[in-house]
Amino acid sequence: MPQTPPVTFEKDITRDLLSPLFQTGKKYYFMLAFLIAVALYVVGVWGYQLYAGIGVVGKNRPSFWGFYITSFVFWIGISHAGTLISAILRVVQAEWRRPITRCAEAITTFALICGSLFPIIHLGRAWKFMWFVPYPNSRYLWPNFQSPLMWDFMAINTYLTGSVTYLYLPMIPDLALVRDKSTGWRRSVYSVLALGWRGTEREWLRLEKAISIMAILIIPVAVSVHTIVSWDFAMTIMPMWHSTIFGPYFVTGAIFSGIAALLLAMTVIRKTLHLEKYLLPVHFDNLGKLLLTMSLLWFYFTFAEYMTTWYGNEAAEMPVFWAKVSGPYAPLFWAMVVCNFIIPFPILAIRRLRTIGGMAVASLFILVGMWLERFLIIVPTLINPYLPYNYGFYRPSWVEVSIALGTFGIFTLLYFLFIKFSPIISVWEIEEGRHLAEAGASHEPAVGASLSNHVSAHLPGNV
Amino acid sequence: MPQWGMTIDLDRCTGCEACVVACHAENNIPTVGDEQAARGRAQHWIRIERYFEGEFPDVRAKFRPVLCQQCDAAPCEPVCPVNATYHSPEGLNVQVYNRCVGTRFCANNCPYTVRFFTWFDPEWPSPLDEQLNPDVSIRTSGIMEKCTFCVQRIRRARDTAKDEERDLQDGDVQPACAQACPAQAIVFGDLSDPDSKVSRLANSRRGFRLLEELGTRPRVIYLKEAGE
Amino acid sequence: MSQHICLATFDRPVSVRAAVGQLRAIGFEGDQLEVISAEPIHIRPDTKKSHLGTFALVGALVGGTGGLLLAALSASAYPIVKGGMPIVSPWPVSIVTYEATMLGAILSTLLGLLVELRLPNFRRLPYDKIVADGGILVAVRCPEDGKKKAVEQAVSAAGAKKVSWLDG
Repeated sequence: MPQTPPVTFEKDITRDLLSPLFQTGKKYYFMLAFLIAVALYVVGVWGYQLYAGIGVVGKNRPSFWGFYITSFVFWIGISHAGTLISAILRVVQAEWRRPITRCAEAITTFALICGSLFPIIHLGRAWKFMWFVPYPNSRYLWPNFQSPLMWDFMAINTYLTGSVTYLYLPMIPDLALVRDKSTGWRRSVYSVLALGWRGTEREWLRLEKAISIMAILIIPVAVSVHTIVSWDFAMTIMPMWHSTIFGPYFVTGAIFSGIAALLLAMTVIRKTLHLEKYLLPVHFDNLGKLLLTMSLLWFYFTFAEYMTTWYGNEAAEMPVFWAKVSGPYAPLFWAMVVCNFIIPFPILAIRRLRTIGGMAVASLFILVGMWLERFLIIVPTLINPYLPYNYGFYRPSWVEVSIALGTFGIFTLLYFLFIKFSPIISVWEIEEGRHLAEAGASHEPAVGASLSNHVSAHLPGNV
Repeated sequence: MPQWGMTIDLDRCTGCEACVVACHAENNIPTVGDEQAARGRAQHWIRIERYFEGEFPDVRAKFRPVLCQQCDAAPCEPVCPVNATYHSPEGLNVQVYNRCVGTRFCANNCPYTVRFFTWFDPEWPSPLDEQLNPDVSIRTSGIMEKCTFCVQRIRRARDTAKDEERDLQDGDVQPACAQACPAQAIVFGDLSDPDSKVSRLANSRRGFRLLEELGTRPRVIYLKEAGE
Repeated sequence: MSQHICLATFDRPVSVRAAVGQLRAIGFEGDQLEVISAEPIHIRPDTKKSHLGTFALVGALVGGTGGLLLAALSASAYPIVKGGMPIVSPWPVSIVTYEATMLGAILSTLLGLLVELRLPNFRRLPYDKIVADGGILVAVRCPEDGKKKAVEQAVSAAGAKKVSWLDG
């Protein structure tokens, strides 16, 4: 049997960032098996729901939406991580984005995939979901574009297309790198994926231009996506849903939960893939400061929303308000405030506490808090409708809990597979950053040198 | 073209719920069983809302039959992503069962909470299956439904009138609830015909619409109780 | 006419700049020289104008028109009144138009990149795997035999670590 030649790495960066693709340990396989089992469980439970009838969920009248739509909004919210970090930081040319961009863009893509499962899962007749797709048919039947759910369809599909493109474009040179470093079937696969990329000057110039155009395009798309998701609620006339603040409120909350998810993901991959040399404390610190800002913004929007409701004292809104603040949902409501603000604020504001571990803890609380926030927006309003005779309750069933929790497993599974498919840190961008820093400012640190961009623009040859 | 509407005289309503039962019988609405009803899934296209006012000994019970208000500016209609609900030229809020995919968005946007979802396939153990109305389709699970102003009766009356080569007259169409009410509290008819009984009652000084301030323009006019 | 392609491998951008300067001096211009690297090093300014912006704009217009037509025509194909709103409602149509505009811009940017770079590209073009390890290649297309020696001298003087010839 012919010996496959050992893969050699000339540079330590290539070795560090490519080794997960070529070497897999037993722990990975165990974790993978567990995640696949979770994914299969979710599929199985959904299959049971399709077979036994939608009634196996805990929803009822008037609580027609519950865990599924909560999860939907939550995952679409998480998906704003990539856009903020990757696109906005690229547009403002912040050097510290370099090791984080691909990690964040991957979160966006996989969170969108997980999120878009739910509009199908929650349907009463899920097998007819293709009626959301505008295709010509003999009955002249089209979807209803006046419906916020169809705006969701358009927005999420656009965002998914955009984020896959935005994930793929900067990946091309790294896919070419993997192609050059591999043999056999891997080489064939990556040759196709790398599209024959060589790295000529024109290829680099065009790629950089395409990436910057994408960065500028994807930001308004991301803002529109979560605004439109918020309009699933704000376009109704239900008490405490029909609020003009929902657009900005949800976008802020999305960015907030997205950064928290990113911080958590970075903490995990830094540890498990031994990327301590690339994901430095300064990266976490910068993200932590952003997270602090978002926490304050979230608090501001929430306070504004509840303050105006309380002060307005409208008859239909007050039962919803009191249900959250002091009624049956008060424990969850105040837990949300604790998770989103009371705990993260000191951790993120006090420098001594703003360590990698501290921020991971804050991020975890924030993710729980943001999930609670979505839930508390949806259910208390539904169970306190205009006509008091119809006040109700909501108790999730095991089916909903399984699927809602199980999608965390699906997300992790997709991420797990991704780190075997592509280097999780963009090799060429790190290299570019190092060379810019070396060439521009010989006595400044290689990463985090915000001056290097400015200086390198004046180097000879960079016309 | 007739513009269907309804008046409900709250002074006459005794809260006996005969209308609820008649509606079930006419429209093939299943009873969901006590376990599902306890989970909040009962389907009563018309229901009697009962409110108690005051303290003993001045307690008053108020009964209000609530059914789909067939709003002219129905908030449930624009939010359906697949066009399963729309407003007919005769003023009915139409629910198209075989187009509904069950997003339940329409139910969330109805301020009267009059839309119902079929959570499980309905069952009529024998011999209840022999009393089903052949004019009304059975809805399987995953589909929204609500009061239709007994559109099957409207259609039948129109067919009869055409056979007899005459126009529809006031009183030709009576939904099941109106027919069953022993106090004749529910009156149905053509609001665009100034001589119809429903038009005359709708113009009464006692008339009001439910949640009128929301701008839904409902077609059900309630007549206030005396002394209100 | 046979093409001789010289592949010279360098390890530093400054050497590459020197080599390019020397090769220009002996008469090689534009597309006869290709610099291939593992990350962007910006040796020479672009000679050909990029049309990616135009692609994006055209795509946005096409997408936007498509979205507008989709929302407006699908509503009028089976006109039903919903909620007392007009059959073709301006506000929802504008949202659909906006999303379709962005989708058109995104897809056409991707398409534009592939078109301008002629990707996917599976022809045998000058390349060496040393690029993956940090080497910078200068590929010189030399149509005449006579200039081969001059090319070799120029790249060696600039500090080429390895010089090889392809015949293609």
